[in-house]
Amino acid sequence: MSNSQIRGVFNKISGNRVGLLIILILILTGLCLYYNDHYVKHQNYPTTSDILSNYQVGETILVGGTVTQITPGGFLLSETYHQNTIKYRVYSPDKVSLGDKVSLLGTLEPNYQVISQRMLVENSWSYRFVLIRSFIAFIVLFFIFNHYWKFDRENWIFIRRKQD
Amino acid sequence: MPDWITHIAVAYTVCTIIGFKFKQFNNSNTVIAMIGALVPDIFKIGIIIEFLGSSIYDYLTPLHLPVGSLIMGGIISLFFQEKKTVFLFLVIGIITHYALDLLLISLGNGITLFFPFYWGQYQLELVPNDDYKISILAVAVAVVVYLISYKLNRAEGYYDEP
Repeated sequence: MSNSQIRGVFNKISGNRVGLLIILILILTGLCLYYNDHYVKHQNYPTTSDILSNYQVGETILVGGTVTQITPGGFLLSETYHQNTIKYRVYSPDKVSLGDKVSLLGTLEPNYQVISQRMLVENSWSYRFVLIRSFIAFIVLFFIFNHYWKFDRENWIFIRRKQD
Repeated sequence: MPDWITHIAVAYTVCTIIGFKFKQFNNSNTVIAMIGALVPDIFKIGIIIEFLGSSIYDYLTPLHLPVGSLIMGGIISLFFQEKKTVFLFLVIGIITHYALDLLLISLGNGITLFFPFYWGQYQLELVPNDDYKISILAVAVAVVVYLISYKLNRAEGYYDEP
């Protein structure tokens, strides 16, 4: 096989790779758009996005956010949705601290008040600890990956460094 | 969801144990599975994008569903010379990710495992999201498995100088 033939074959393979990449990205984009259009109908409980468009007093809702203030009988829960910050006044006997991440199942009352039914609390330090652990894991994995694989810049492809 | 340490530790453990029997589960392929274990969490990049002012996070949720993760695995494997092998190991890692995520406690909205074919949500509600003891356990098991693997490879002469 001559060099030009080899290059032609490679270009063909590379072209197929690009074509497949485009197809997969299009399929993924379609799925994302479809999900965004339909997920609201299939949720078990309304979330902040539903509440903003259709506020239903007495409905059981699922919201989450950060504790920004401790109040008598509960706390203020701040959630940001598409640059909108909503502050829920939560009534709950459970103890929380400022900065805690809270997921809350409760009954929606007027003026963004919520009576808590069930709550998951993640301490602020615990949440940061998860992020730190995850970041460390990512760095370690990067170095391990680099030990076994290298990037061929000419062909834009990862290849093994050695057989094992 | 469990932290990334737990995800990659479990992927490593699973592949190394299988590797005792099947030599295709070597170190370089195991690393691919460990990457696969993080693929579903690619959707978290939406948090950064949303912080920059774009309202894209809701659109990225399918990346944290099996079908989206598999497509992402396909996209990633296209950048490797051995596409089919890499895709296979990415899928193994992706499976370990969802196996762990299914264990988590949630408040009602679980994982839509069979999207787009079925919108039913699943969650086993066993483990809290931020339980660092799970991470310690996962790493401890991975270390034990590594030591066993090292001893076995040494016994087979794998680490002997030529």
